[in-house]
Amino acid sequence: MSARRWLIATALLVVLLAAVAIALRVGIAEPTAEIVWSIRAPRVVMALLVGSGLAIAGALMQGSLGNPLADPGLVGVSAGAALGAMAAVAVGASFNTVLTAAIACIGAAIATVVVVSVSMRDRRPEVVTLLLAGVAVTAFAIAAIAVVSALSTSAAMRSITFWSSGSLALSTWDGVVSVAPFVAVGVILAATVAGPLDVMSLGDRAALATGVDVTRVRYRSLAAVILLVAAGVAVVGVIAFVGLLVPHAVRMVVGPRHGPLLVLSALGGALLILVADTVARVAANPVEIPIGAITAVLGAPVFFLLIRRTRARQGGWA
Amino acid sequence: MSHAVELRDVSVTTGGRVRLHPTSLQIGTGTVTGVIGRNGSGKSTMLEVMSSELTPTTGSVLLFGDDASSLSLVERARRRAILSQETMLAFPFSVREVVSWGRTPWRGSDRSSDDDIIIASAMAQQGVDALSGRAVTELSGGERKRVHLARVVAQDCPLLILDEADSDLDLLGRRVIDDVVAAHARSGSTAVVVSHDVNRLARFCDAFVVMADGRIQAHGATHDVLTEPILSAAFGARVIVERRDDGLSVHLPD
Repeated sequence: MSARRWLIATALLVVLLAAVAIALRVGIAEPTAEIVWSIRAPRVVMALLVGSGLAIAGALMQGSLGNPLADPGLVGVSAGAALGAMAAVAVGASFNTVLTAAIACIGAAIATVVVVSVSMRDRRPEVVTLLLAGVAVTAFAIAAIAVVSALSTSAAMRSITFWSSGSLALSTWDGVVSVAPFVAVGVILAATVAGPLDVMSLGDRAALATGVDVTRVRYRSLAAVILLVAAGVAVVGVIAFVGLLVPHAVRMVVGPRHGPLLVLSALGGALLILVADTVARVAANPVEIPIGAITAVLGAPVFFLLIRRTRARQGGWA
Repeated sequence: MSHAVELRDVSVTTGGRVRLHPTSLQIGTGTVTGVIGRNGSGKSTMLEVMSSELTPTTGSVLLFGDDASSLSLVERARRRAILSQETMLAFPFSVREVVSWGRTPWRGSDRSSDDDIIIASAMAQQGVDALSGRAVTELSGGERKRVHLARVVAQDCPLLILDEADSDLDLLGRRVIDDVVAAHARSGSTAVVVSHDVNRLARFCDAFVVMADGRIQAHGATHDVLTEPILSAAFGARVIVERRDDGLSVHLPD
């Protein structure tokens, strides 16, 4: 990375640490050691894991599908994960466990396979179909979640609303331990595709002609997306637009290269979710605002802007 | 004479439709071959097979003597570079970044040590060195095409394949393409160029392949192939070929 990118990364890291310090101190209750350690700290760590995971996943989806509008929350990956986690809990699995996280990954994988295979045309993913397939998969998953929750007698089902609008309130250290390995493997996979993803910006044919195995890079990227997103969704629910907002902001500042983009998106995503969650906790005290609502309020206008820009650009939707 | 590309009884059938009938063809090293034919005549299919982008249904393709199917993607990319009609860029990468991707297949090899020199000279050759830091997505169509030309030049392959790369260019842009092919040929390399602009191709091609209905109708030296009977048959209409001092002129009757 260039000197400028290192400077920006360092600045982001400093702000992030400051945000962590603030998040640990502010809240309804006095910050006793017990409250900070067992309630706020796991929530803060979960925010960092989920935020960086979502932002990296967004950058990976956009890069591997050549689609600047891709976001795990918008194309149905998160909804598939939520349905998986929900189904696991409905049949007796516990929250914040590796088992629930793994089943969420299966749900996300099914959603990803459906959405991506539907949108492939001439062996490459098509922009509009991807989003439309995402709408359909999300609608199906939400409906299925509603049915499962209506039929279930599990006590855990009372927290159903967390899945639809997102909340970090249920984060525990057990949850952190169950999510972290998935995110770690996702990050490692992401690191291996950064270089090839740059070249894939040329489209499949030209990238193949320069020796890039586009199919392998795409599958690896999508596997990373599933790992980065699904385990987090099992604990905090669906938080949309993070994967859209953060990579786009980063690209505006440092350009589109995936190496710096993934690193800075990880920091930016962690910061966004941590700040949004802190606001969610304290802004309307004693009520909590759903964090998904906050990211959607920020993200929806950006999405509109991107739609306009993508349409205006040469090639339009193609 | 050694061959840059050799097609041995290749055919392509997709979805029950024969796109390329069994075809054999040898392209000698150091030659510049023009490929012409009507839309849908199988030019692009043959080119995709030739570049080993498309695996033929039957037959085999040899790239500089080796069976293409036994070569890795990277090994193929070290032997042939392709510039197609359609050039896209999903994100606003800079001119230098895009040109540098031409070096992708050489990464980790001995030849990657000269990357910076090769990238700089490819950009200079195409006159895009002054645009080095600009986002390619902000450039005009002609400038963009030159950036991609610089990219395939930087790939530094003994075989250059241009698949209607001139279709959206103006007169000057086409001249730029011709110059690249000419420079490529002077260095002893091989080029295969698909274009609808027969007269332009006739000026710098040593040989021609004429395609119609998924078959090669003729292949040989320019003057042997660009004749009225061959072209009229291939295009399904009367074509007039005039031999002039400055070359050939191919056109439809008035």
